[in-house]
Amino acid sequence: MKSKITMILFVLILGSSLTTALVTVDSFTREPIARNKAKKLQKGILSSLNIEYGEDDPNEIFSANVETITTPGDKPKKFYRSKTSGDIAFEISGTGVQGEINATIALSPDLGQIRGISIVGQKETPGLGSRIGEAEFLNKFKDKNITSGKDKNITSGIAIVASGKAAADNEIDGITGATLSCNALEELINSELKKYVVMFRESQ
Amino acid sequence: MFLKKILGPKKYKIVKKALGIDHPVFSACLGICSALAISNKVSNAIAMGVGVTFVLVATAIFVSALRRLIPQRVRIITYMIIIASFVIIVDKTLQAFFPGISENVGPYVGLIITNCIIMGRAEAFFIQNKIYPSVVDAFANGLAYSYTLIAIAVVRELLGFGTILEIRIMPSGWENWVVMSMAPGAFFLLGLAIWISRAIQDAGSETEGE
Repeated sequence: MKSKITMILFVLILGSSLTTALVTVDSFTREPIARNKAKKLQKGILSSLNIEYGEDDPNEIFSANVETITTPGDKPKKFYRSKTSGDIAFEISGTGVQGEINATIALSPDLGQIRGISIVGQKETPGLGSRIGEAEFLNKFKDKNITSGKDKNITSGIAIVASGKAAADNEIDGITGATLSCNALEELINSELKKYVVMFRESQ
Repeated sequence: MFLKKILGPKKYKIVKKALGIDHPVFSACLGICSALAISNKVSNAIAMGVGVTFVLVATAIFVSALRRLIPQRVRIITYMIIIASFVIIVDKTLQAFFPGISENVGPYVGLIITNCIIMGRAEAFFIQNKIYPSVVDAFANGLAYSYTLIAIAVVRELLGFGTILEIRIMPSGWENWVVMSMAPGAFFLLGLAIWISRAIQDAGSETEGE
């Protein structure tokens, strides 16, 4: 009997003190965590749309320059339109070599060209695959055609080719040493583009 | 011997043991997994060191305070619950106030739960000792783990990225050693470090014997 009481007492003490600690920490950190996440996405959207922002809070510039469009339906998707250029940006994500890659991409108003792309989160090999996040590489996506043939409504996507081999208007020079990550990025961009361009057209 | 004076001989012995013959990484080979994964940059190593030390100290306080109440049969689960709670606290704090570091350290903060240093010390020391010596022991072990991590990270970041704490050290023509920024580089370094520390210890014990 005594050991049972000790056990109950022990569970109560341990449970209540740890729960109190966790709830307290959660109440202090929930807001900053949500803010950090939103900030990161806003920065990604702004840099894809080629809108300059300072190092601190991007919120003001974001709300002044970007209009958010949410598609109707069960799984709403948010699209972001630049108020100045009319470019459309949205989030894309998929698997890389080491883990998930999250990025934002901006397209021209007719959805035919890439205006900008930025990597929001990635876990690729440091020094090798992680170079897909470098501005020098991402700048090469600017003004690439994502439609082929006469029908401008069909999204065919981009191709990341060996470094120095890019010739066609949908080809991008890859990074030597980051071939696998480049391939993964290409696949993720193309499949997400096909999905969301159609979705955005339908919603308009 | 300033430390000896404030801590008293018994506690001083605990610290000396943790930093010397019972060094958690070099002697007991505990916490190797995170030492390999996190030591690619000095800032990550510092964050991880502080995180582990905090969890160790908090666990020491809880386990030693409750040591008479913890039923024998469920003590390991009890350690896990206590450790896990504090790891969540560390993780949330990093996410909220140090988002950059949190991103780099990523899943490894969660893996502090399985860091054998904490489990090992809880089972070997905290459960049998009062709060004060347990906290001293936790600090000493956290310190031993942190300085190992930071020492390896200094070498890895310098060779792998040419920087220390993101400050450029190497000349601009420096070719980064990619292997150093990946886990195998840490294997080589940690192996070397364990070898050197054991050689020093052996030399020390031999002269003592004479």
